[in-house]
Amino acid sequence: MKSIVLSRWTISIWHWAIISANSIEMKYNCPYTFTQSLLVAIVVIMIPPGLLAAETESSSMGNVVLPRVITPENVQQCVEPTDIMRRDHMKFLFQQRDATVLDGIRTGKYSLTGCINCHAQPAKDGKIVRAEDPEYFCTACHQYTSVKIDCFECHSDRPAITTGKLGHSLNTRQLLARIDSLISNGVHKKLLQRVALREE
Amino acid sequence: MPAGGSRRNFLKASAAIASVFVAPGVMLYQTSIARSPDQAVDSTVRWGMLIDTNAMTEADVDKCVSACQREHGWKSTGKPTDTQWIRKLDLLDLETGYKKSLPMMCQHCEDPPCVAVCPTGASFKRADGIVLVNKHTCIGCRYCMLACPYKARSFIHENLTDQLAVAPRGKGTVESCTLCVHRIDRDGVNAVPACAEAVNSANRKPMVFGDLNDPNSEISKRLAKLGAKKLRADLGLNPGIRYQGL
Repeated sequence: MKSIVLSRWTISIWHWAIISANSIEMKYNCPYTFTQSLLVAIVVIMIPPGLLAAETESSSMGNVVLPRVITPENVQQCVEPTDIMRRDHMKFLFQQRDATVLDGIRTGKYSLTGCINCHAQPAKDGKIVRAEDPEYFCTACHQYTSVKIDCFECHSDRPAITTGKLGHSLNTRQLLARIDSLISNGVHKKLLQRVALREE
Repeated sequence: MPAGGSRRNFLKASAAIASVFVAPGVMLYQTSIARSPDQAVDSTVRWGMLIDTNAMTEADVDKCVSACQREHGWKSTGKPTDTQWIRKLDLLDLETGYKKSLPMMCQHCEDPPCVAVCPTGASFKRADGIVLVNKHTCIGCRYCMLACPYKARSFIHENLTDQLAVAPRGKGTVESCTLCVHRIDRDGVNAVPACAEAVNSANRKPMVFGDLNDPNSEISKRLAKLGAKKLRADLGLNPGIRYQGL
């Protein structure tokens, strides 16, 4: 009985360690996962010193660079917590897609346009990242997990306002909110700088 | 009782007079209850459009086409395989030489042949009468294009970029007029499709959009007063787009 309780404790501590390590990895973009490093450490301790050289070689061969996920600056929280979004975003998107196309319900919070408006904002240096670039928010993880999506064969990969063609996708309130967010990001200052440069 | 009755009549009459003077042309109440935006569309409404071809000039029809292009981000290049959400149809009476232009687009039939032939169910009619293509399930077979007697649909042959958020479009799918469904979902009975918006002005309204099921809607009243033609009425498809002056 005691041993079962003990093992449960160990497991929960183990889980806590993995979860916190994962969040650190995602934040600082570590090249190794916690489990990878730990396994290497165990193996290094267990094996005789003569085999060490071979072990270090194989671990460097298994080095996979984790995707670098850019989080939008002006938004604190996604529509769901990050772990749920990572696992289930496609289910939310499919469900809302059918509700919108078939039933005309456009109020749901899981819209692809919503994703793009936050996650595909132009980079600080003004560089436009397209869906096929590995730095693009969706592409970064989908390349890592070998997932091929075709959303962007039809849907725009940039927020409506940056394409210069608003259509009528945003109503006035949304548009003003969008302009506010752009101004708080200092877009107007950059534009003014650019104009000043051109005039020089 | 007679005193009460006369008072009631007096109140009714004064309310009617007041409503005329308060805001002519503005409805103080809505006859049909508008759908809440988070509810699915239902068949209590049937959207339609009335086009008064007598009131429309050739330039007006061109305006319709370019407004649709701006709204949905499609272009004409002059090729026979061009995208055609809406097009100008020129009619000529050979006997008299009488010419007329009219806008031609998806007629949003009650019994659409494009839906009947679609092998995947991608071509569908929404509960409120709008005929659409679900591009997520469209396999690009183009049966619907053949089945449509109005040649309203077109196929996308090339890769596209920078589509508009309101009109996702992509290679290998069929597309057609959506009756500006994004506007309808946003504005309900007050919606105006882009083509109608381009030609209507304060003093004239050649294109009237509205609910065909509601006898008090402007479109129903104008249809009741002057009637209108359904194109190819012999096919019995009951299109939602009606033409006056043909």
